[in-house]
Amino acid sequence: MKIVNPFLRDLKGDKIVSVYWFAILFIVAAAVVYMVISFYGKPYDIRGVEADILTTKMADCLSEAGYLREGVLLNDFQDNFLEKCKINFQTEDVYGWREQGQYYLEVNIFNFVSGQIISSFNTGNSNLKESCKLSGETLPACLERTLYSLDRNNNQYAINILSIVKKTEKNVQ
Amino acid sequence: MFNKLLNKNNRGQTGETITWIVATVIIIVILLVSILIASVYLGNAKKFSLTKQADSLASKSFFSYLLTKDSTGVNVYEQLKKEQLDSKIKLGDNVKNLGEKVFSPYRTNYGVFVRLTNKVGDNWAEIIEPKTIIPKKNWADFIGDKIKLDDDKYVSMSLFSKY
Repeated sequence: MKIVNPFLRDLKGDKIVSVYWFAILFIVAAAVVYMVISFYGKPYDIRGVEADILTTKMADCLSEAGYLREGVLLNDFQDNFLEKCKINFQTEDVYGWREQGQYYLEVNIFNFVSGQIISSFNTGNSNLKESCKLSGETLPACLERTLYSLDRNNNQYAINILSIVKKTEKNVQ
Repeated sequence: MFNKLLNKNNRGQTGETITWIVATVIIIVILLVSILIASVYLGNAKKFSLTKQADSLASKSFFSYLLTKDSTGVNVYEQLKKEQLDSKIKLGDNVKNLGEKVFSPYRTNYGVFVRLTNKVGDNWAEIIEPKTIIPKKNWADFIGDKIKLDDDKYVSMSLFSKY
């Protein structure tokens, strides 16, 4: 009869426990790596801030010291308003951004008293405007804001500025 | 004797194994919960927003509002200059209505109020009511503009977050 020493069996158990500990260690490490990637792997969505900056820049150009900038209602200004307001829509040449156009800017000027539209001008990728009616994270960021202004003859205006920034590929994943 | 020893050892090992299995299950459950939280709540697109020190559009509207003249050719700024801080404001309804209309677009994002106030801000008269409860926060949470009318008389426009 073969006599089995019970203390030798315990040594085998120790080996199994060591393997188990390694397995747990790897599982915990993998979980931590996954959590870090899932948090830091997502990009910051800065399109809202970019649209806000675009709106502010446009407002600065249209209204100076409380008065509507001279010539805003003329075609000469409206045809080249990006240049006149020192705004450019240049983007990085990735994901075909340059061909598609990543920005849209629209200005509507209303008579403040009657609410009638006086003037409207826009530039950029007008297809983006459709997405403002929809909701979802992967859609372009839209920002519509209004400011009040007047001209030197005390004519009052409500100026509506719509800014849209697409750039979904880099800001939303 | 050996058999007795072996039996005792086996029971001990079974108990130990159950402890390990329970510990493993607890570890895996904790990890899964952490992963779920990380991917559902923290894994969403991270919105980046700047702490605003001013609202350019509201400020521009405020300046234009003060420059607006009434039918007699006197602008709001001049009318406010004549007002006494301690007595009830006698501004015409048209000035108040104009203010309400000018600042109504900002009410979707902010609470808005316009006041005639002294330098310290402990004495004031409302021109445009906030319409919502003003939160008891630091004054640093408010953004806006303050324009001097007289030695100790100012007109201020304040915006505060409603949420």
